[in-house]
Amino acid sequence: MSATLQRRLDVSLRVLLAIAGGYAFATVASVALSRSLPLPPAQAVMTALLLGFLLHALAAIAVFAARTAWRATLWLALPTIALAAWVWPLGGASPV
Amino acid sequence: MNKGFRPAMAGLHTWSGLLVGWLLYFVFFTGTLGYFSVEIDRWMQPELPLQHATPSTAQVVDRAIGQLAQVAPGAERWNIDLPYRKSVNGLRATWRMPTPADGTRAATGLVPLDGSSGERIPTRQTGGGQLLYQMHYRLHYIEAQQAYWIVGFCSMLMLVSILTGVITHKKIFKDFFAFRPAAGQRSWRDAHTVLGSIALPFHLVITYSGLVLLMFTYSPLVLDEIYRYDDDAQNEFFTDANPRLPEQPRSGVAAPLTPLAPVLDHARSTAHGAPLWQVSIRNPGDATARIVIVRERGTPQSGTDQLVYDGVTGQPLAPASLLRSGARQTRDTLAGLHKGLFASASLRGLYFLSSLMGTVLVASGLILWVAKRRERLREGRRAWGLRTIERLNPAMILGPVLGVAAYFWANRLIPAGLASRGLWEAHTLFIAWGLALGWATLRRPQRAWPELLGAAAALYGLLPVLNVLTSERHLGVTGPWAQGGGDAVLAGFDLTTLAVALALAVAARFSGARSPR
Repeated sequence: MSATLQRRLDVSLRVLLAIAGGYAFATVASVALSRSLPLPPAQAVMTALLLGFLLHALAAIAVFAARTAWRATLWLALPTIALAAWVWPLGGASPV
Repeated sequence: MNKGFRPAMAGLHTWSGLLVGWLLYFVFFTGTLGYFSVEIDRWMQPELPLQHATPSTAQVVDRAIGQLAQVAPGAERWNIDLPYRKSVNGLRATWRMPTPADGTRAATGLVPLDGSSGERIPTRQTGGGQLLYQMHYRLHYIEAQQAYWIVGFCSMLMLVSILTGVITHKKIFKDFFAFRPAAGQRSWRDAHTVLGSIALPFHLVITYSGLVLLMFTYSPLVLDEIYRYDDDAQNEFFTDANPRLPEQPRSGVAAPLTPLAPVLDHARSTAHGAPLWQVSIRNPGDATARIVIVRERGTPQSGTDQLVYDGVTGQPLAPASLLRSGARQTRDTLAGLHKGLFASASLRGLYFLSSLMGTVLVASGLILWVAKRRERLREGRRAWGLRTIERLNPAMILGPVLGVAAYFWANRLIPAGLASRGLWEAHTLFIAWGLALGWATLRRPQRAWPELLGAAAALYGLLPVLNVLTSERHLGVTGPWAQGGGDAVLAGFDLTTLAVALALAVAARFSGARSPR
C-alpha cells in the first residue's frame, strides 16, 4: 500500500514538474536565446519562440527519464536557475 | 518506479495522452472537418446557386465592387476572394471600416455574392463549416484566450505523447506490419501503433505547427522580457516580424476607382498562369486608394505574393517590401502547412485522411487504456477510475460525431428566417452530445457503444433524405446524373454522409457482436 502511494506521489510530482517546471525552463531558455542569438531582435525572438515548444517537450522527457522525481527536480532546476541568473543578474535590470 | 528509459517513456506517453485525451479528440475531430470547411459552408447555405464552370471575370468583380460600395462606403478595406478553388461557389466579399480613434475594434462584415453574376444572395444565417473549424482552437461557450490556453496545453501534451510514443515503439517500421485483428486488447494496441506510425510525420507537424500558430499567446513572458512591457516596442516587434503594406489614412479627397479589367489582366500576365486569389482595395473611393492583388502560389507560404496598384490611375507600384527572415519564413511555412489552404482538392483529401487517422489514433489510445486495464482487473475490485473512463468513453468519443450530425440536421430544420438560428445550430451540437452523455451513464458500456454508433449511423444516413425534403440542393439535382452535370461539392457532401453512415453501421454491428454480455 505504501509502495502504491509512493508511486502515485512520484508520478504526480513528475507530471507537475513536466508541465510547470518545463514551462519555466522553456521560457527562461527562450529569453536567453532571444538575447544571445546573433540575429536582429525580432528574428531572434521569433526563433527562440519556435524552439521553445521543443525545449518544453525535451524537459518533460528528461523529467520522466530521471531515476527519481527529486533527481528530475534537480535536473530541471539547475539549468533554469543558471539561465535565469545569466538573464537577470542580481542587482542588474530586473524584469519589472 | 523506474526500470529503465523506455518503460519510463511508456509511462509518460500514457499519462500525457490520458490527461487530455477527450479534449484532444474533439480538437482533432473538428480540425479534420475544418479541411472541408468551405464545402460544408456551401452545403449549409442551400440558397447559393449550383456550381458554374465559368470562371469569374473582371466584370463580375466590378459588380461585386458595386455591391460593396452600397453596403460599406468609406471602408478602410474591401476584400474580394476570387473563386480560385472550384469548391467556392460565390465570391467572398468582406469589408472593414477604419479603426476608430478610441482604439476599439473596427467594424467588419461579409456580403455573400453569386460567383457567376456578382449579385447578392440572401442566405440563411449559419455558423457553417467555419464554426466547426473554429471550434478546434476556439472551442465554444468560453473566452477565446481561455480556449487558446486549454487547447495549447493539450497540444503540448500531444507533442510529448508523439515523441514518447516513438521512443516506446523503437521498432516503429516493423510494428507497421504487425496488425493482429480481432484479438481484443492487442488489436486496439496494434491499431493505435499502426495509425500512429503511418501518419507520424503529419501528426508531429500538425501538433507543432498548431502550437506555433498561437505562440505569442503561449509565450507572453518572452516578448515582455525582451521588449520591456512597452506597447510601442512590442508593436515594433510585430511590424519588424510582419512587414506589410502600411496603413494609410484616407485623404478625404474623393476619386473614382479605376476600371479593374486592365489591372486584373496585368496581374494575370505577371503571374505566369498562377490563379489570382484575392483582390483587396484599400481606401476605396479616395485619392489614396490602392489595389492589392494576392496571387495563389500553390505553396504553404501563399498569400505573401502581392502586387500593388494605384487605385485611381491603375498604374502598378513597386510591390510592398516583404523583408523575409529565415525565422519568419519558418513560421509562415509551418502556419501554411497547418491550415492547408494552399492544397489542391486531392491534397486536401490526404490532409483529411491523415487528420482522421489522428482522430482515431487518440480515440484508440483511450479505448486501449481501458481494454488493457480491464483484462488485468481482478474480480471484485472497484477501480472507480477505470470504470468511470470506461463508461464515459462511448459518449466522449461518439458524442462529437453525433453532435455534428445533429448540427447538420438543425441547419435544415430550424426556420431560415429565425434571427438566432446560427446560435441554435451550435446549441444543437452540444445538446446532442449531452444526450449521448446521459445515455452512456445509464447503459452498460457494452451496450452504449453499439447503440450510440447505431444512432449516429441513422443520423448521417438519413441526412440526404432530409436534404431532399427540405432543400432544392439534394442528390437528385446535384448528382452527376442530373441535368447540367450537377454539382460535385454538394453531391460529394451527401455521398460522404452516406459513406460515414455505412462505416458507423458496420462499427455498430461489430461492437455489438463482440460483447456477449
